[in-house]
This record gives sequence, structure tokens and C-alpha cells, in this order.
Amino acid sequence: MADTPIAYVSRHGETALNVESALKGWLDAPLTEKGMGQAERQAEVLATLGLTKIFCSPLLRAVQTASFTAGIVGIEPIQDRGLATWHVGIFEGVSKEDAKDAIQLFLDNPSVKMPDGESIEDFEQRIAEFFTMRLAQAEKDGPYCFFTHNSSISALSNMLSGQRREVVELSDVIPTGGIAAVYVDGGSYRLEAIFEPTDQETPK
Amino acid sequence: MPDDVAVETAESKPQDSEGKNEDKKSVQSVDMANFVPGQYAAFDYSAEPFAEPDDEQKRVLRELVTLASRRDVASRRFEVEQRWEQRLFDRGYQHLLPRRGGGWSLPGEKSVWGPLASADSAALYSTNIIGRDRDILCAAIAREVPKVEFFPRKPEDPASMRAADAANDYKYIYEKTSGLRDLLMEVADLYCSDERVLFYTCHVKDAEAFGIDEQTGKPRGAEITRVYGVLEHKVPMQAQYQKDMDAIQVFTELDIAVARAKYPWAADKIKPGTPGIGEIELDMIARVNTRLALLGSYVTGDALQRDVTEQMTWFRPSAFFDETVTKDMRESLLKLYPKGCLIVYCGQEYCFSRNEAMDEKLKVSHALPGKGQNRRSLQASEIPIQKRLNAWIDLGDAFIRRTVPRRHYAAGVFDIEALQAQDNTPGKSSPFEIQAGISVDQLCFVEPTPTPQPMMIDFIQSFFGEVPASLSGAADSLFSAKAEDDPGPTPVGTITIRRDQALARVGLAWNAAKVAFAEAARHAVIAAAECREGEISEFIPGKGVVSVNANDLKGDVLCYPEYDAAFPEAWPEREQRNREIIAGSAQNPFYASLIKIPKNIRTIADGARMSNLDVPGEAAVKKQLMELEQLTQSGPVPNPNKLEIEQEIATMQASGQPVPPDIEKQLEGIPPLVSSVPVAQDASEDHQTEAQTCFEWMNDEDGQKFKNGTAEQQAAFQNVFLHWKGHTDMAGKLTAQSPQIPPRLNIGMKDLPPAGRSQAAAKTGLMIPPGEFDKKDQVDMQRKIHEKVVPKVIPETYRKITRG
Repeated sequence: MADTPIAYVSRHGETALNVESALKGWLDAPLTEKGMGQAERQAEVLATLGLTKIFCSPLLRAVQTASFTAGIVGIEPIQDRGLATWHVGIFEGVSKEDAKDAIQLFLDNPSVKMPDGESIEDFEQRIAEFFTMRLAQAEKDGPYCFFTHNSSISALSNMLSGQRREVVELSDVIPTGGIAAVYVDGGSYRLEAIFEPTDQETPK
Repeated sequence: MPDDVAVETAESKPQDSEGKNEDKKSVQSVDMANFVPGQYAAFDYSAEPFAEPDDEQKRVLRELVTLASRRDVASRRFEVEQRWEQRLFDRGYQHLLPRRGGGWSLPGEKSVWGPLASADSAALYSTNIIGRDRDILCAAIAREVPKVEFFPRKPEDPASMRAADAANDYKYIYEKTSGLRDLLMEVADLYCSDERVLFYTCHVKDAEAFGIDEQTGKPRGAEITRVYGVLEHKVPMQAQYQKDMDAIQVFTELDIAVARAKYPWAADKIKPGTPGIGEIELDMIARVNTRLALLGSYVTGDALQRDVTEQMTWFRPSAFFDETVTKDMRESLLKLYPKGCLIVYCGQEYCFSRNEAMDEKLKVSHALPGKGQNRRSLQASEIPIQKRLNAWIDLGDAFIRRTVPRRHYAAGVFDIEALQAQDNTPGKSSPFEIQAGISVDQLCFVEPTPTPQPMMIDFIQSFFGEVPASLSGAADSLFSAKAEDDPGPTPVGTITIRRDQALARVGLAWNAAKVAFAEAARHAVIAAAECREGEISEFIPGKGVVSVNANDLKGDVLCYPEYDAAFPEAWPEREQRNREIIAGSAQNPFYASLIKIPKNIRTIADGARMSNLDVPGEAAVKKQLMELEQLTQSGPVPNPNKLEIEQEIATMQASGQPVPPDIEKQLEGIPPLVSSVPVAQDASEDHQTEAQTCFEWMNDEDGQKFKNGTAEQQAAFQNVFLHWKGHTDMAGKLTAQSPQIPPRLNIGMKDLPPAGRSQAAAKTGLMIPPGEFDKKDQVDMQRKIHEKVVPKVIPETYRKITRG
């Protein structure tokens, strides 16, 4: 088991939709005050890890979160669609509680495309393609940092372990503003949470 | 009343030296000794005596009457001619020509064939949409006699309260004797043609109509309302309200014999003719013409020889302030007529006058709002439509009759005479000169048939239905009919909306009628209070005998139409509504509660046209209503059971026997009083229905009056109460004795243990041992656990990221 992470996966800070516990999908909600505080704290932690590249989802919340870290470490984030969250189409903005059964239906039927969105299969393929390539690069050049979303992190965790432990969109691998590290684990990789923000901090 | 009337005859007249009768001057006093109002002709009676004006006063009054008749001569003529035309149009006489001297005549009336023959002239044919629409409007307005309600003008005055109560009973008598349903139809007709209607209400003595009173030997009377259209009455044209009118006049043509019978003291002086005021002569011609329903101004000679115009003029006291009346004369007139004056002439002969207030007899009613007294009638806007329609239809008729094409044949080629001899060939055959080189097919030709302007047909259709309906309000939709121009089926909701819109418009006239009927009813109460004595009783269908003491009517009352925002509904609507209640009572608790009340069932059944069917409880309701008549005549009576036991105890005591304690205890439990009408102690009466009927009486207006009334009324209320209690107790006893239906309990099969389910299945004939149910439960349980616990199978092709 390697001790040094080859990459870090950061979840964006809190948005208003997180507060309402609603599915965000590709809705472009900005960070709240608390979310900015989380991003700042996150950046303080990441700044000490010797990052070599930063990738972020093109969605605003991820870009905003990445900008805090980029500002400290001086590395321009690269936006990549591969890090975008699961496109839940018509369920954007719907509370997780209300959409739970529908989400499970699409999870149980991975090839079925969500109306106005994407199927879980397509989403996982996108995630898999991105991380397969970038993690391999990170092994050589790293550590990289990926600013992404809960569903992406859930899908990554499942695909790294080979099991659907996490219910994409419905379970939190790491909280908002949290950081997980990617370790090499034999022929695959391992994801472990290493940081969780505790207090709400206002940006300085 | 004045005492003497001197009836002059040829023999009684003093004769001059040549044996001729001398002309007498007007008589100072009138001998009425032999005059009995209503004996030979209906008479408008009043408790006020006839006034006895002297000659000078009569002269002044005559002048005032003449002034009133001559006032607003131009506008009066205008309104007379308008209404004359409207009435003739309604009658079907629609090709009118202005008549010399004013008014209307028809072309061709002077034809040698007589007036009837000229009526058959195609030039006089009319397509009478005005008559049609008048029928529609009258049917809509006259659906239901307006209901009125009396109130005390001074609620703190017992006489006023009593009068209002009595008037609310009397109104049914007035409705019957005055024939208000027919009156409403007349009013509706006059609203259509004349717009302004005068209501005149008074006590009319008439031996023929109402009989002779056995006690007094004099003709009986009743309060009657008559209505007059514009031609029959005259008012100051500029006045906006009745209170601004200082004089109102009514004109009626009476047969000379009737007039003499009505005013016998002036019999010999009454001559056929008009009041002799030139300005109102045309009014008489118009009245006679429209009543005789003859063409144009043709008036039969015998009518002129026998008709006398009865002119009734009401003056307010303010009329005596005219500049033609001197101060002294005014004072004498005001003394004679402090409330105002009614003065009656037959022809030019003064008949009588008396102190009378016009506002207690007359009500001027307008169908529509407007300015002044000459307003647009309901159908006035249809006159030009009718005229145009007649012209277009005549034109269309001319096209059809006259434009059968002519045929032209080459002379020398065709035997024209032979063709013309054929009498079944439409069109005329005529020769023509052919030109050289003309081909055979051109040897004859038929003129192209001229066709009328296509728009004319559209206009005719529109002016026949849609346009006059929108102008007058006489729409097909008033009676929930489809509109003529509706293509295909029309939804019921649309028909209902249109009907309500049409009714809302006609509601203007309906509201005017309601107000006028309320005022007429108030006048009737005033007249009855003044002229009647003792009990006024009438049998009113649906209410039984209604009795009112005339004395109770003497109080100050107000009368208003009952508030009802809805237009009276037609029978189909009522039937529909009642059928809905019947059909909906199974699901609708409100309807179900209505159906439970036997009184309502009768009303609902009648409304749904099921009058021939008996309804449950109806007989019991009728029986109880009759018993209520008896119960309200007295208080409760001592309980005979108690009396019997008391008697028994007294006998025992008298004979020295000890009285058993249970008898004394029994005595304590027996109520001292019972109702005067006994309640059956078995199931032979419908106790529930009879109790309900008593309950309704106790809680309605009549019951509450008794409850809070005099000592006798309170005792009567107690009597009804005890009767109600008797029925209620009996109903309870009989219900307790009837077999009880055991309570029912529903248990689901799946809620039972296996043994229970086996037993339940056995009752249906299925023999399933409990073990089978147990096994099934186990399998179901395992399945549910399996679904919850066993995760979904991960697909073999699940994606995994690997180091690559």
C-alpha cells in the first residue's frame, strides 16, 4: 500500500441547493458564504500538498471552489467535462427525499437515460474514462487535484472498489468542502477521505 | 253621501207655454236616496262621501280638468300616435299611412269591397315578428305573480304591527279577487307596446260579481286593481316621478247604458261622446280603433253612437294653486278636498267628486328607466325592423311572383298561338323576329331569371330572428331554446348561460312590475281597511280558508316585493330542479334531508309533475294540520287517567280503605294535563310525521306568535306542545319494541390467524385446512425478507477503474 497519495479529489463547497438537500445536476448554483469558507479552508490544506495540476468540473460551484486553491498555489485550473456531475435532467432542483425512488429506478436500470439527462452508464463511463487517464498521469506527474461533485466521487469510489457501495447522488462520500486522497492499491486505486471542514469560516 | 238625486224625465221637466221642456240648470244637491253602489253596475266605492261643490266650484274644477287635458299637447299627441302605431303593428296592421287629423289609416280601407276585402290585399300582408316577440316577452314576464311582503311603517305602534300581520294574510285574498295573474299578463302586454302603465286600485262594489250581503242587503265589494296603458291615461309629460304630478287622468269608453247605470243620478244628462276637449279627441279615436281591432281609423257608426268617455281626474291639493284659481276659491276647494280631489265626468256631464288622495289609489309604473314620462317601450325598437322586413319580404315575394322568365320563339317557325293556348306553361310565350344567319338553337331563348340580391336573404333571416330579439330581449334562449343560427348541438351549459342573460334583460321590466304590484297591494289594503267591515274570508287554493278582520288592516303599513334575485323560473326549469333533488337524494345528504320532510315531498313531487302519486306521510301531515286547527282553539285538558286514579283514591279514602303506596306513586308519575286532541296509544297513527308537523308549527312564525302571545294563545301553544310530546313518546315506544338489527362487524381475512381464515373459508364452502394458510404466510414472509436483505445482483460487466 502506497503512503503518498497520487491525487486528491475535492468536493466543492456548499451551495444553496446543498442547504436544501436538493439534486443539483447541472444547475449552476454558486457557493454560499459557508461554501466559500469551506473552499478557503480546503485551499489552505491543499496548498501544503505540492499539487502539480488542478482539474475542475466546468460547473460554477466547482470552478469557484478550485479558484481558491488556484489562487494560493498559483496553478490555473483545467476545466474538464469528465468531472461534471451526473446530469439528472428533469430532477434538477428536486429534493433528494422526493426523488429518491426515481433515482433508485435509474440506478437499477443503468442503461436507461434520465429524461433530459444521462443514464448512469453514460455517466460512469465518462467518469471512468477521465479518471483512468488522469490517475495514470498523476502517478507519473502528480499529485493532481480534482475539484468535482458528490456523484462523481461516489461513482469513482464504486468503480475503484468494483462494488456499488455508494448510491450515487443519494449518499455522501465526503461532505461539501471535503478532500479525499487517491492511493495506489495494487492493480487499482483506493480512495480515502482525509479532510472534512468543521466550522463555517467566512472568507478573509 | 248626498241625499237627493233628481232624475229628470221628459214628463217631469217643467214645460213652457208651447208644451216643450225647459232646460234645467245644474242641480245643487244630488238625491242619492235610491242609489245603491254596485247594484246595476260596478262602482268605484269609497268611504268618503260625495263632495257637494257649488256651481262656481264646479266651473273652476272643470277649468282645471280642461287645463290638465290640454297640457303638453304636442308631446301627448306624439306618445298617443307612437302607441297607436305600436298596438296596430302588434295586431298585424303594419302598412299604415298617416291620417289627416293625426293617427293612422291603412291603404285600401275605402275600397268598394269594404274593409275586409282590402285586408286581403297582398300589399297589406305583414310578417308579424312584433306579435311573435310580444308573446315571448309576455310569457317570460308573466310567469309568476310577484310575491309581496308587508311591514309595519311604525314598528313600535301596535296598530301598525297588527295591520302588517293582517295584510300578510289579506294579500292572498286580494290576489284571488283581483285576478292578479291575468293582470300581470295585461301589464306585460302594455310594457311591450306602451311602456308606461297606470295601476288603479280601489274597492269596487258589484252585486253581479260579488253578490249581496245577507245582513245589509247591499252589494258586496272587493279590492280590484285595473291597469291602463298610455292611450287610456294621461300624466304631465315632464314629471320624472309620480309625486311631481299634480294631475292624473284616466279615460274609459263606456257603453251609454252602463254609464247611466253607474251614475244614475246623472242618467238623463249623460250623452254619448267625449269630454269635449279637442286636444284629447284623438286619444279617443286611438283607443276605439285599437280596441275594435279594425283597419285604419274605420270606426263603426254604432260605436260612436253608444260610447261615452268616462274621464276620471285626480288632483293633488297643489293643483288648486294654479293661477286661474283665486285665493278664496282655493281655500274653499282645499276645505272640500283636503287630501286631493277625484272628479268624474261622463262625456261632458259632471258625475261626482270626492276627497281622495291619488297616492292611495294610483301607481305609475315604467317598464324601463328613462327621462320624463314618454319612454321607449320594450318593442319600440322593433318597429323599423318590422317595416324593413315587410318591405324586403314583399320584394322577395315580387321576385317569386313576377320573375318567371319569358320565352321567346322565332315567329314563322313556331306556332305561337298554339304555344300560348297551353295553359300549364309557366311564363308567357312571345314571338321575335329572327335575323339572317341565326342557328336553330337560337330560334328560341329563355330570359335569364333575375335573382334578388343575395344579401337580401341574409338580411331577411337576420331581421327575422337575431336582430329583433337583440333589440327587444325576446330571445329564443329565454325558454332555454337553441338559437336559430346555432349550427349543430349546443351544450346545455351554453343554453343555460344564454337563458340567464336573456332573463337578466327582461328582469328590468319584471322588477318594475314587482314594485308596482307591491304598491297596488298596499293600496288594496288601504281600500279594504276603509271600505270593508268585519271578517274578510276567502278560500284560497293551497292555503285553505284565509280570514282577516278588516279592523286589523287599519294601520300604517309598507309593502315591498319579496326579495328574490332570480327571475321566476319556467315549469321545465322547476321540473328539472325537482327531479335533480329526487335523483340526488341518494348521494347528497342535504337533498336526503329535504326528502325526509313529508311536506317537502309533496312540493317536490308536484314540481316534478308527479301530482297524481301519493307521497308517504302526506296523509299524516294533512291530518295533523287539521288537528292543529283544533289544538290552537283551546288549552290542554286535565289528564283523564289522572282524574280516574284520583277518583279511585277518593273512593278508597271515603270507604276507609288504605290507599296502596304504589297507586300514589303511580299518580305522581302521571302528567296533570294532556292535549285536547288525544294521541293514539298504538301504531295506528304515523307518530313520527305528526310529531314533525307539530314541531314545525311550534317553531315557525305562527307558533312563536302563540308562544309569546296572549294567555289564551300561550295555553294553545302548550296544547300543541303536549300533543307533540305525546306523538314523540309514542314513536319512541314503538321503535323500542321493534326488533333490533344486530351490529355488524367487518374483519378482513388477512387479519385473522390461519385457524380463523380456515373457518371463514369453510362458510363459503371452501375447505382449506389452517396449515395451508400457515404455509402461505411463511412463504410470503420469506419473500419479503429476501427482497429486503438480498442485495441486487451486481452485473458482471460492472465497470472498474484499474491502473493501466
